[in-house]
Amino acid sequence: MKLTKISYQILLTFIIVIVVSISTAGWFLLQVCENIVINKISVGDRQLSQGVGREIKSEMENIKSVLKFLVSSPNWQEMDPFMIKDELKFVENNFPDITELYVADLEGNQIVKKGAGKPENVADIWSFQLAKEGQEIFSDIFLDPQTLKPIQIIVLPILENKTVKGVLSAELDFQRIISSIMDVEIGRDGSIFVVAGNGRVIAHTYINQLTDIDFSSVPIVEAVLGGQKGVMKGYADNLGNRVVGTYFPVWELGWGIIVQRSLSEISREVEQVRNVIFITIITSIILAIIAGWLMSGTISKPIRLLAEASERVAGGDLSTSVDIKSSNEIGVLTNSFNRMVKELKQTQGALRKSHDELELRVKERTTQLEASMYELKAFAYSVSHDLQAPLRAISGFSEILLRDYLDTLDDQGQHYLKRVRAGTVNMSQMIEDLLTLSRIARRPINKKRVDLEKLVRETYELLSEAERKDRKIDFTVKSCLPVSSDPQLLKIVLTNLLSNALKFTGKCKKAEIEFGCNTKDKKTIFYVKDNGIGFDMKYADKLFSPFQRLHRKEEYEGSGIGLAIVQRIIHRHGGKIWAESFSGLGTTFYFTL
Amino acid sequence: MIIKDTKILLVEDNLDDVELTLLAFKKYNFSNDIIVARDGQEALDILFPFKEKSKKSKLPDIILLDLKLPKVSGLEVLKEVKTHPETKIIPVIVLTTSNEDRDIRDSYRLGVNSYIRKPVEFNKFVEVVKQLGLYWILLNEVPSHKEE
Repeated sequence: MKLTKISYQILLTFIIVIVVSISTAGWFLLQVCENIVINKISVGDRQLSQGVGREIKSEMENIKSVLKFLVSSPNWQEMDPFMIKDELKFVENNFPDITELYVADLEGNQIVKKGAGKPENVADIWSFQLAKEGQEIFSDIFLDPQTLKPIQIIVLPILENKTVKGVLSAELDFQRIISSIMDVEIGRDGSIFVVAGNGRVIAHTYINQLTDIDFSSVPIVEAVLGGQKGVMKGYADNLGNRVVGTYFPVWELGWGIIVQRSLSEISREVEQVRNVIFITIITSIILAIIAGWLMSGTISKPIRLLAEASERVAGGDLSTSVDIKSSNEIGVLTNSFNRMVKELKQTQGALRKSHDELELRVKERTTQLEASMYELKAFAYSVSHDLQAPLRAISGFSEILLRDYLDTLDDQGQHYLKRVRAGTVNMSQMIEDLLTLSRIARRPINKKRVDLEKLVRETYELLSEAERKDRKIDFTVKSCLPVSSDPQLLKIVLTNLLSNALKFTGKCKKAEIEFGCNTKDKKTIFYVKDNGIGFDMKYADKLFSPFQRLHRKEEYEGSGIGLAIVQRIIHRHGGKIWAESFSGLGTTFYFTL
Repeated sequence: MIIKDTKILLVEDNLDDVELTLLAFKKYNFSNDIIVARDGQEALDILFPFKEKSKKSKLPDIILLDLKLPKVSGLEVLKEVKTHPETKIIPVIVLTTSNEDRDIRDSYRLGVNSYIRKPVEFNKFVEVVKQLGLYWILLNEVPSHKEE
């Protein structure tokens, strides 16, 4: 049996714990690093977007304030084309982004015009009509359908004490601003773009040809157009790359500046950190395996030793002891294991000793018993042979005396001789019975299926043949199931019990003898019942002793050994026999087999 | 009773029993030619004499054998009788007091022809001897010892 399980379990647990904790820590560290990098980048990007936004704003505000200043100057209120033209020269020189410009009178006639084409009437144009009413119009940036340039149109009324004298219209070209945005140094994966209030991108680092697509539903555009500034992480840009966006609104213009950077650029920055973390994880796994291997070995070795030792003890080797010097629980376990084995050994030794002693004693007893059995057998044998011979001589010669020499004896002499003969008959019967008793004790039991009812009837017929003529006997047999017993021995039992019943009912007017059985506690109890003279129950324990008589011999003949034989047969069958009686009312013998 | 010329060898150590047996035989006049051997050795000497000549004439027709005998036991005598071809044909009747199973079994194993128990009571004993004589001496035919 190989005991490597515990060390493997420890090792595996160790490695899992180390890897999980270091990986988790590494992942968090990576996140933190990424955040730091993103924050660093976004700080720069915020400054960039703010700078761009402010630049555009100031440029626009300059233009606006100059235009506003012009329309409110007293020279313009006169609507003198020369004066106006003269002042516009300043504008043309300082603000090259203003590409077209005109001043129209209230009828819509352009009195001054800069740019292509001849002066015309603009009375039908919607912005002119609004400005004529006194409104200032700043259009969104849109692409000029003819030139495809991003432009904005500013239309202002020329006022004199709130009275509209004329209209100034200027067209701003954003090409230069956009170009300047596109020239901003932003790095390989970064981009900067400007969205106008209508959601249109008006400038983009990589897109020259701007399209008329509304981006206002894109989250970052929505946020920046809503006037917020901030950083948005991990969303997909229009090309599907995951990016980080920093946004800044140009509130006054309703624009937004967005700087976008690809996350892969950020990961490049974090890559070094990530490499360090990976190397750390791999190193710590290797270290964990080595440490775990050593540790599991240290922990499992004594356990393995103990397990192997207990296997040996279980296999019966009690000379086993475990040599581990440790002050922890393993040490305690080892000590108690060694002590236990020692005690087991002692107990086993003691047990074996007492077992051996017992064996010896049993042997002695058996020898003694065998000797006495042998003596008993020899005794019975010699009784059988030798004790009967002199008896036969007494019987024989007294008989011959009675037969052949009768006339030489007087009556008294003849009487004595008859007593001698009767004595020999008696003694020979007793010897016969004794031999039967001892023979039954030695005879092996030979069990068969016996029809008890039939056997009882046969035995009874044989026994009562002579008596039935002289007296009335009421004999009943209750039916019983067949039993397993030695038929010859059982016949001796029945013969004795039934002849007893016949004998002790001899003086009854109407003898009643019954054989039957009943069941108690799953055991069948058989009985032989008579209504004879019975006996006093205080002698019940003497009933089955050999030569024990409860009645005088003159009244009822017999050797007094019959019931002893019956009891011995019943006991040899593993059964019990007992009797119940009332003097003068009868006796019942019960027995089990 | 018809007297047959039957030679009987009675092997019996107890004088009382010898006398009673002879009395019983005499009562029914079964045979006049009864030789008594008082122990096993004597019986063997009668059955297996040293002189070859006298052998045939002295061999009995029936042997009545007691089992418990001095010197050589009845069973040993029986064994010898049933081992030798010339005595093998002689019917042997065990006539003994014991009815021990062991004795009966051993006797039959050695080839006894009959096992009869001597009753203690004389009247019964006489009756047994009568039956024995009627059967073994009068009814039963025994082989002759003369060479064919």
